[in-house]
Amino acid sequence: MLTTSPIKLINGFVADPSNNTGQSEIVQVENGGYVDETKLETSSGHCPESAHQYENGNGRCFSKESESCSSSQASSEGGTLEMESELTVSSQREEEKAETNLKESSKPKILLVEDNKINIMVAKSMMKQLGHTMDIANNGVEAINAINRSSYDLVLMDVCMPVLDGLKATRLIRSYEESGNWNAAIEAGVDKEILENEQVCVRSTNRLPIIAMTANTLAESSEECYANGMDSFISKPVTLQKLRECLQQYLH
Amino acid sequence: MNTIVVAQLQRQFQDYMVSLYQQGYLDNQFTELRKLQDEGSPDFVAEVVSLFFDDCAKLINDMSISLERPDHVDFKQVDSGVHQLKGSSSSVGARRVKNVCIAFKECCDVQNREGCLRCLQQVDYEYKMLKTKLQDLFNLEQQILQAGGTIPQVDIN
Repeated sequence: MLTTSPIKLINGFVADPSNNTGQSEIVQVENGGYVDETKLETSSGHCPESAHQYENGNGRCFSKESESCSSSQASSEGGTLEMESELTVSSQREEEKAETNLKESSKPKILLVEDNKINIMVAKSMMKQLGHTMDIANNGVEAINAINRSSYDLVLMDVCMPVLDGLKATRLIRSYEESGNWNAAIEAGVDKEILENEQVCVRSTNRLPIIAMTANTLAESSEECYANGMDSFISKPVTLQKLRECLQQYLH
Repeated sequence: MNTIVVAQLQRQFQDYMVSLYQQGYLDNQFTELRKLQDEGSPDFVAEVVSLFFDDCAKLINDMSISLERPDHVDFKQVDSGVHQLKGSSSSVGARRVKNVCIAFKECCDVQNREGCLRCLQQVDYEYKMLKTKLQDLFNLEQQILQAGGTIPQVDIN
């Protein structure tokens, strides 16, 4: 289910050597034709480039259960005893977090990624009438940080945005789903510190539904949306009916 | 409550609203906005359009600065402004404003400064015109409410 669309991974594989479990999960896809890689980096130049190697901030790895042991082993600074106590404490926290997630999961978490204030106001009001609240991100980078922090049930992604647009952001999110890490995003200039310090501990294994909100110009065609990993699209302007149908289809 | 006065005002309101659609100032998206107005947010439409008009003024001002010097036009900035304006006008149902933006974008794409300036002038005119018209509409609404009546549902189709 995770590999339904032809995802082009930016660097094709996981860079972090401690992440050996991650590697086996990655689908090797052709990396050629990723023409705008440089554009990707410059466009997200607003984000500070990662200047140093990942210094494992301990508990981080618990985002994927399978990876937990290997990562902490590779990076632990203390002796074996220290590592074991870290493991115990972290797994307790993980359990608590999972419980909280379960309690909160009754209300669907929706993320709206949009830079236009007026569009945000209208969409929020429509969602409110449909009985939902939404978190807001103003560009692709903020969207990635939000998704890293919480488990969302649905993402409404505007295509044209500054800093990092919706198509690119979606590619990076799919890469994260495929590989279990944000290396591609970090490579693209998304702030490593933020991603690694605020990572959600229990990551959903389900594919995150990402719906494009497109003005239907050439650059935002439905083909482009699907090619970049979007599940569906809503053509702008957004209406109650379009949102209602979207919710019916993607929220259960 | 003077029922005759209320009925007259309601009729006026309906006719005015329909004319705005017929003359192309507004489209279905405005109808969508009206659906979002309820007891919880009784001034929603007025608030959104107010924000929209403020946004228009700012964007138009920024674009005029970018277009000012013939030898030094920042078409990227203008394009960005037009994009924002097209998006917001589309979201609120400001049909004429949106249509000017479509033409504006084309001028920008081919870096036609003269064309851009004309479109800028036109978009300025259109948003101000719409602002006046909607103000009249909201005034009618207020009059109805003050006379003790309710705002009628207007069926555009």
